[in-house]
Amino acid sequence: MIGFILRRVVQLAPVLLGVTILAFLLVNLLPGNMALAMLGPDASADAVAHLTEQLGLNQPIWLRYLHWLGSALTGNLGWSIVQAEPVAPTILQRFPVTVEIILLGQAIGVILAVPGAVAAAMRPNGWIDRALGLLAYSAIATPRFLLGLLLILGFAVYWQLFPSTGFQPLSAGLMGNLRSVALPAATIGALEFAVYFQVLRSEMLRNLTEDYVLAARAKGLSRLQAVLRHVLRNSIVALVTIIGLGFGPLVSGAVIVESLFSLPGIGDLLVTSIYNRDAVMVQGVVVVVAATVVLVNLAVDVIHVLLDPRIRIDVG
Amino acid sequence: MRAASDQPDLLEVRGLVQEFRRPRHLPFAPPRVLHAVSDVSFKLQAGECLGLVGETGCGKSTLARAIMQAPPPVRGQVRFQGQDLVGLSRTELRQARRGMQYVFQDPYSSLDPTWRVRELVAEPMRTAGGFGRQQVDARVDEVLQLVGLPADRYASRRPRELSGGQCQRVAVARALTLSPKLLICDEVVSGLDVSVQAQLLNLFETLRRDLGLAYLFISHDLGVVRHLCDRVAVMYLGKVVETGPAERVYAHPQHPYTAALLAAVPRIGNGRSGARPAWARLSGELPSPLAPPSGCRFRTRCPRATARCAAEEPPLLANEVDHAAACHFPLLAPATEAAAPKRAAAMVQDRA
Amino acid sequence: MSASASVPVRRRLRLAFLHTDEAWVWGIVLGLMLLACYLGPIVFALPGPDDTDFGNVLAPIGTTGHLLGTDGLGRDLLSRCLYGGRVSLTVSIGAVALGMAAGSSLGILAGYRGGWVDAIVSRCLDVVFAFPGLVLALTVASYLGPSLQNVMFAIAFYTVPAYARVARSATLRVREQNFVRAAEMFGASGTRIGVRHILPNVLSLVLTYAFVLIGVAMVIEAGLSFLGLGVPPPQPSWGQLIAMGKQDISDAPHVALVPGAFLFLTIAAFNRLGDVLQARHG
Repeated sequence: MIGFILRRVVQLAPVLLGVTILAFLLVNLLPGNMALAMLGPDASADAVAHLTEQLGLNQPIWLRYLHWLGSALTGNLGWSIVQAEPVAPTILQRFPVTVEIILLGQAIGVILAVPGAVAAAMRPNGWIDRALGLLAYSAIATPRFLLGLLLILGFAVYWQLFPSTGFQPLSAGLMGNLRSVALPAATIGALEFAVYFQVLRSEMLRNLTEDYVLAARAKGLSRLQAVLRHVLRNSIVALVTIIGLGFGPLVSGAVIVESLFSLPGIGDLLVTSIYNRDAVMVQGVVVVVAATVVLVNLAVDVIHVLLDPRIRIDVG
Repeated sequence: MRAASDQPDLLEVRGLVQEFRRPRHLPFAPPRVLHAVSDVSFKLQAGECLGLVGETGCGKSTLARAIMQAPPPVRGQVRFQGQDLVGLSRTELRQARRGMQYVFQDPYSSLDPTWRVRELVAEPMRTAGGFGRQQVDARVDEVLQLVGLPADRYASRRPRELSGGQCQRVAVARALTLSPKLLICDEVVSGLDVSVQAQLLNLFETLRRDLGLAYLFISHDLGVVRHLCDRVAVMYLGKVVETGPAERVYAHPQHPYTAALLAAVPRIGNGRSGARPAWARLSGELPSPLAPPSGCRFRTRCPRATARCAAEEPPLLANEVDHAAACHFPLLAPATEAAAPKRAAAMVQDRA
Repeated sequence: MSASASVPVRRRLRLAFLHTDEAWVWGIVLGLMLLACYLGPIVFALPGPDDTDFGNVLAPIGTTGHLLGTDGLGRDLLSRCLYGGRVSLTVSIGAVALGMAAGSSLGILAGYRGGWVDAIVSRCLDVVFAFPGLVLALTVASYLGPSLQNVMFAIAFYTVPAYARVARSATLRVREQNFVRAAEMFGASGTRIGVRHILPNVLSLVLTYAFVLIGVAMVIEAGLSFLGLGVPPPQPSWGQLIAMGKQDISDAPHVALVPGAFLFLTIAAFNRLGDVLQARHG
């Protein structure tokens, strides 16, 4: 078990390194003079030259990468000239907002998906199953911003229940905070529900054909009891894996949702930094996001092995 | 006058060793090696049929593949028609190996489902190169006829339109196109219905008679091997434990493992209650090829094992003419229930 | 009553409905959408997508001369949606075509060769996949500068690895088959095996995956456009149209919802067609 974790960590190191390299190259290798882009087309040649010198942009790229990596490992992700703030603290400050809507969204997704999948698996191809399936399908085909707009239209414009923009931090009161994140979280939750529902449903249907279900029924359990007590527990593993692996797409969703609802999270930071041509900030955000995805995947792998004893035997 | 033993062997395997590396548990732990085939040697004459039997996992298929150099063995020699195949380059190997063909167990997976029968059968010729289009077509028709699948009806079909038995015939036809001297058949009738098995075995007999083919016939089914093969070699955990003429080995096995295998074959209407004599009962499970037992590998399941069996590995010795076994205490007399324990005890005393 | 009493019409319709192949239905939907977007503006004399009509601002659906209404500047929505479809479809299909060509080749190579080639490719794929699709596309698109080709290329950063991963796993499965071993035993070279055995057997998977991936690419493209970082105006794309309609959402929701409906329908059709085909041929 420990060996498995160690092996995974060792496998992960080159990936993490690769992530930093790719993040750095994406921002620094693409055409266009960075200093010029940052200062705008009207900047004087002197100003551009000065900035280039200051940022060390005339050094060879691998040297710049190593400098950046070195400071990044000590927690310093650089200074954003455009926004006149240090990168790492800004990211850290915005993290909680993104985390909140992501976690709430996943919670909504799970709360809706689990009973839905149970109901669907109880009567496959019954009307509940078909209706939920159709709903899930439609949610997947709808881009998040469109879904968000629909929700705004329904709940913020028509029935004025929730605000359509703006964020209220927890410090200003729980109710206010929850109201301000309700629609964004619901936008994310709808898609999560769709994915979880599909996965859970197919996993449960697969498990239902296994022999132990027949044995449980023969013992006298009702269909519902058999499903709840045995099938659900075995299907949870697949669900946990999906929840964990969906972290990457969730960040994409957060980017859209934060822009749409004007929430001060990481996604919004990324978009505004791109608008402002703030290369240093973009670099920092991108590398933090990617590194988090890698670490979350590792955690999911480990949890997966912990939950599913069958894998443990192979893994030794 | 030339004696039969002056003829060069068609196939001679010497000291063949095949091992595989397995991933380590921890990054710096010692490497784990799977000993699939350990020091196997045997000879096969032209036109002869040698059966290779043993439990699943004993290394028969790995041995066969190693003979084909796919992948080549870690150590040892494989002399086919006098030439050692080990270490040859791909082009050299293609030329040297032409007389040797391989037929797989699963009829469907050995035929590309997107190809038609004609293309499938023609593949060896096309890959070898040097044949004209008409030559290839003519030969394909010829071999399809040989296996009983007339070209006009079968050549343009795809594998999914054929039954399992027909697919195996296509695989055999494909193997015959380059006029091989040796056919390696790896469990080719396992998984087929008994009636289909019989048809295929008859085909093998016919081909052998008409074309003078030699076979290396791998099977876990002792009955099939007895029917078809002149000689038989018994494998256990990567080693050959007994070789000899098929009839002789079946009637009077020398190695306890062979005896146990034979006794395990269910027989109908024999009046036995099913209890096997003590010397023929297998106990325990197959040890892992990652860590084979010291000395005689069979000792952990052998009811006759002694300390010597753990200390010293028994070599393959001919206890009768052309009939050898790798055992310190081989069963040298006709095995009857009453006599065996006494004779075994006597032999133990003799050798002690 | 004769033995061959006529089957009631409703029942016949229902039977026909049940027997229709779902793949054909979605295929026809997509075909119509493609025809409409690429040929529609030429065939039907519609007002241009940028033709303003200040007398008819925010006209509702069904106004004469503007079948689907107009936006805040009086521009015809139907025309804008069809032209927008051209952009969205071209970018998505183009990005996936790039992915199919480059990604599948990479995946098949890695899957068949194995060893260190596979190890390197897989590690690189892991690295790229750590970046969420939209984030990757955003970063690339913004720094390449806004243009149709650049957006296509930016989305290809996602589709190439996605295809490589799928092609690789398909190749690994095929590689284990005995007919590949047999070909190796006949002495066939790697190239010969790759082209004549591996490719035909992964082809169906590669082709059916295209549909699902196009659906994903459209979502990414729409997201980019919505954020204003996609294909630049005056070429409208569906995502942009929706973004522009956002400000009028309270007074005239149809300005955002009509392109939304187009987008939704197309993505749903690609997804569903892809799923059905994959289930059948994957």
